[in-house]
Amino acid sequence: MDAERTFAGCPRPRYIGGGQTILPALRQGHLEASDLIDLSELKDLRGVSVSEGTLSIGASETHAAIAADSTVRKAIPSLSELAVNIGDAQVRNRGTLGGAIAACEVSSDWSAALLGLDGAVHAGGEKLPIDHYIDSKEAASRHVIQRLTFQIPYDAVYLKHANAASGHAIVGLFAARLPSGVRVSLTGIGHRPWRWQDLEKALDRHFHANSIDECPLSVEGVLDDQHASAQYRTALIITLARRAVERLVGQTESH
Amino acid sequence: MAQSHDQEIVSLTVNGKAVEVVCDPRDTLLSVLRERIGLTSVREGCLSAQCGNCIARLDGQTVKTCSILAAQAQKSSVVTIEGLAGDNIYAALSAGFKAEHGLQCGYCTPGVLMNVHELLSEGRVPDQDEVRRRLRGNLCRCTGYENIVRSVIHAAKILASDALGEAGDDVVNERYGIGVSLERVEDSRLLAGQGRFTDDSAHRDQLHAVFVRSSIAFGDIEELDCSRAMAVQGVRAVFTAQHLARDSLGTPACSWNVMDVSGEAMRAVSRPLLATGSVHYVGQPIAMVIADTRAVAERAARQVNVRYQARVSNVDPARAESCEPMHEGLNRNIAFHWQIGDLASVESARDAARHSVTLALKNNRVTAAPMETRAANGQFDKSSGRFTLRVTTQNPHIVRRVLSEEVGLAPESRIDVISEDVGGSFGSKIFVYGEECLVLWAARELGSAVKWRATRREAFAADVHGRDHVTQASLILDDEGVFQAVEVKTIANLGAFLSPFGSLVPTFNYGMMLVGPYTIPSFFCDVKGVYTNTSPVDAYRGAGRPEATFVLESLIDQAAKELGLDAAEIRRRNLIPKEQIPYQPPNGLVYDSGDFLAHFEKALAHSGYEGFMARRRESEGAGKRRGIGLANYVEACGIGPSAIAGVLGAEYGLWEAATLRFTPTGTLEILTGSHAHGQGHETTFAQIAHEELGVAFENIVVVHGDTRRTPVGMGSYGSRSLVVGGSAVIVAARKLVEKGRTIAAYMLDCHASALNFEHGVYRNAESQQHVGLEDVILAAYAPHDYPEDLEPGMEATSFYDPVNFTYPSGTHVCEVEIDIDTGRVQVTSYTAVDDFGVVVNPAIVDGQLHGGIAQGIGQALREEVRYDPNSGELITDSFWNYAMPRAENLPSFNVSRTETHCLHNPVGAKGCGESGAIAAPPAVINAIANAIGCRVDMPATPERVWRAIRANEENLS
Repeated sequence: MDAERTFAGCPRPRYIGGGQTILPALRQGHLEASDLIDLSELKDLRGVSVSEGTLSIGASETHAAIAADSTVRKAIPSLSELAVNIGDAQVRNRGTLGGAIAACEVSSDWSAALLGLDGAVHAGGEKLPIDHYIDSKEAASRHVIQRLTFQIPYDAVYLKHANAASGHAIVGLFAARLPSGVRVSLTGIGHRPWRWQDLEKALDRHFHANSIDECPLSVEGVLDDQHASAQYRTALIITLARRAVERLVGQTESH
Repeated sequence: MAQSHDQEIVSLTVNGKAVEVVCDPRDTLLSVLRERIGLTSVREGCLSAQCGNCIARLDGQTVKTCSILAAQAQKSSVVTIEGLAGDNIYAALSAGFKAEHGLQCGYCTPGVLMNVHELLSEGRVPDQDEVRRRLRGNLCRCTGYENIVRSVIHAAKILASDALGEAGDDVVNERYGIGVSLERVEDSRLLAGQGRFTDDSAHRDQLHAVFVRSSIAFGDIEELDCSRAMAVQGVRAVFTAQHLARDSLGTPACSWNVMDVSGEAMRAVSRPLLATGSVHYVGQPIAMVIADTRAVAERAARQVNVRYQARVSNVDPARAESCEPMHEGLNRNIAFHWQIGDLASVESARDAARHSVTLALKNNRVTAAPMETRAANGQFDKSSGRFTLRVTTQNPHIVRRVLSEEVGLAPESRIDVISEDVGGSFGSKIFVYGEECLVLWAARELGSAVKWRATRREAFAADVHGRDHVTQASLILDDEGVFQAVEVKTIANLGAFLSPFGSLVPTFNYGMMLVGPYTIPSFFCDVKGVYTNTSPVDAYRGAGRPEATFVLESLIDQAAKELGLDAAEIRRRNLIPKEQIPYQPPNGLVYDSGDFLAHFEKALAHSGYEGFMARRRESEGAGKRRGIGLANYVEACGIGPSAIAGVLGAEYGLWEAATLRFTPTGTLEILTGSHAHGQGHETTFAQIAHEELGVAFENIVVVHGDTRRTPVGMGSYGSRSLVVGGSAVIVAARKLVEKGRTIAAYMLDCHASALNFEHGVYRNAESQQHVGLEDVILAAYAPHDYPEDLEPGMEATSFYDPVNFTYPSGTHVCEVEIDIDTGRVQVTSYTAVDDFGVVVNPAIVDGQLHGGIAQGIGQALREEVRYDPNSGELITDSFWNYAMPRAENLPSFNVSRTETHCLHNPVGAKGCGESGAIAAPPAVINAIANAIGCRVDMPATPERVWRAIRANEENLS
């Protein structure tokens, strides 16, 4: 791919999609780059499709396009809801799914969704689960993210307690009932999204908010920073988990 | 696909025209639109995709142009406000924003319009919630969003009803005088993006300045090496304190001298223009880099090498006294220890009374954060020796005086200061900062115009901040809950240097207001103003009065709780009754007018105070807590009588000037020394002149913000514009009426005393002979047949010096609902009833209130300037971490008024600019305390509230 060849020839290159994360970060001096390689014109990074229980979204699709996309809404309505609550209208018009995953900020909404929906990053001809993508990020960042795939759940919900200034998740929780079982993923609470596997197992046994009580959560390892203490984040996780499960149970009952 | 660092050509279609621009690949679309193409409606407010001032349409979709590279927009189509002339949605929006007073300073307005234009293009009438959500991408500091939301819905309804035909036409009013919510004269140009803000100015020989600032809180500069910066291509100069010393430039000093309890003068340390030897806070300017472009200056500034020997810093006012002195020649970090009131009578009240309620309170450090950051553009004309400074200021004449008298640039008469449109101020642009002085000085040094504009990060670091008090306060009451005395001890953070009003704000502006609108016989206040390694603290909307009101209204709620009284009942028992007005509280002031119980009872009725318990039960049913909070205030504003100010330590007088000049054809120019930065003086000052003189409203033009044209004036702050500056307009108008009466009497051959003047006509009541003002003016300018002892011409000036402050008062009621599990506070309703005396333009007054309330709610719930307690680094350096109020965080405000007239100014008005910011913080915090049963420090963030709920439950169990 041309973009990747160009990338290899630059000293400290970065890909740029919509630029909504990278440009403010460069401006504020949080990032440096010798060269920016613009991916927004690449046609093969676009498109939304469903096949065999999987939703595929091209990396260059913007949050606004995803929020408005009928295929997405039909397959995984919680993703539409997630997309429409990112940033503001202008950021959604410009920011892309691939850019959000590549930036993979602590509080990325999309990484919670990707992890919660047993999703994968398609880059450099490989299909990497988000966990593996993050682990190999140094190496993976050479590759252009082409598309992201999500398992289509029976139902799912994303809840976020947003930072008052930035709107980013102080805690974001994605809960999904997939054919393979329940998944609960978290964002904002550490340097990577995180699965709450104890709760997943408990919910697999009994899908009820009370199952959360069986899953003690340790404050250890939960992010503690200027925006929120670990103790508060931990309490938020439990609150959001309860609300997410109650919402899903309520939806089931109303059907 | 890779971009080299060479220049490249970007082809765009901008507002329908093909444009090719040679640019650096690092240039943003914002900088290309604004600086290369000259579309000044596209504005920089944050450079971090937060504020929305730079919104434009790119290939059919709105985007934030600060976060797009120009190169990414190659071959794209861009539309800005300038390209929307003739567009029907824009026309509807324009009509809606005028009708609903949806803009004040107008700086954020083009970005707001571009955003909501996209929303309305969907062809629906959105509801309030949808508009508020949509406005997530825009920050506005003036309007509190209330009228923006109404304007958008108004515009949508125009579009839906297809009633646009009329919208473009001027609205015809039946009356233009006092009391009419006229559409503002300012709005047409601001809505078209044609405001004339400082940074919009550009000269042919324009150079750009960027400041190198301290990255540490406290230390000595061991090495300052500018050689690498000097070597950057395009750099014209790098100046440091050494260069300034050669010209022996002075520095703006504190202009309010307060006495220490010791009887000595305060220990004022002024900020040097550029750091000399040591730095005292993060953001203090060290060097000025000047280059051909701002981008080059920024890159060069990063090449200036500063090596520091760091010293142990302190940002905590409570610790300042025990820290090593941070300024040479001071043995303690205390600028002044000041007291007011009668301690002996407070102590005897304490001995006699049954109850003493005590609270430890903090008033959080906040920043004004106007959407337009500070900017200056300096010019020097060598042939005439004149300096011209375009600058973001609230008081151009004071800037001129400081530049001459304190900085020593030139005689005052050789300096012109111009500030046309200013994008919000809220106090932060009163002061003369070093940057603008240096820009002007550098213009002379380099023989070219030099411009500087603060980045948002600089604004956070280097604008003055507000509040930052640590207080111990008690209220003494008898068994019936009747207040006997207030005693307050405060440590006020002044920052690293004493700012021009830094000494006034936490002393007289604060201490004198601690008795509020209540019959409190005794009070005592002790304030220590301390130095810390933080940006200087000075006036921010309210300036001392919000801090005082917060203390008193917090104490009252705590007292109600401890005595088992209802929060409304305890206030009702203590408010000064109407019969006792004029009232002389123990602070030495005289409340000349007011009916505090009237607005109090009205606010209770409007807020549904009686029915609150039912709403609380409903919330509890949904697992939430609900609270209602009250705050009363009275404040002394409309500063002020020069004689009193002088006694209190002011170096300046506080009058205001207006010149009214009739032209020979009968049109009127009002030249005011006051200044507007969103308050709409071009409209209101014309309204009062129209009321006095009967001149057609459209023939009146108001000029402000230009020392070349206006009389020497004192500018706008302390809610003084209308009550002092507007009074000057009236007094000058009345001088003209009298002069005209003499001319008319001569023309009608009668005694002047026989003539009445009404609606622009002099009439002899007996003979019914009359002559119009226009004919009188014509005679004054063609004095062929004219009174012998009268000068020709029709022009009059008034220097109006008030005899007292004005005392607006009000009652604000806030209702909140709290999510127990997350601590999130939602303000569900906000009711304000205020007494501003005579109201000239109700829509503008409501707008002032909305903006102040939003700032007050912001301070109560969200905003705080934070420094790292150990390193002294500034944590809140952008809108990503300083939580500004946004439309979706605020309720719709329910504001109304009662009216008792100010008795001593000819308008009958009282200042209204600061009331919202004064009353809202205690109203919000009292509502939270009412909901959860305990008090929470500001800002009451979700985590703080969550912790308070838990701590309170543990205490109770």
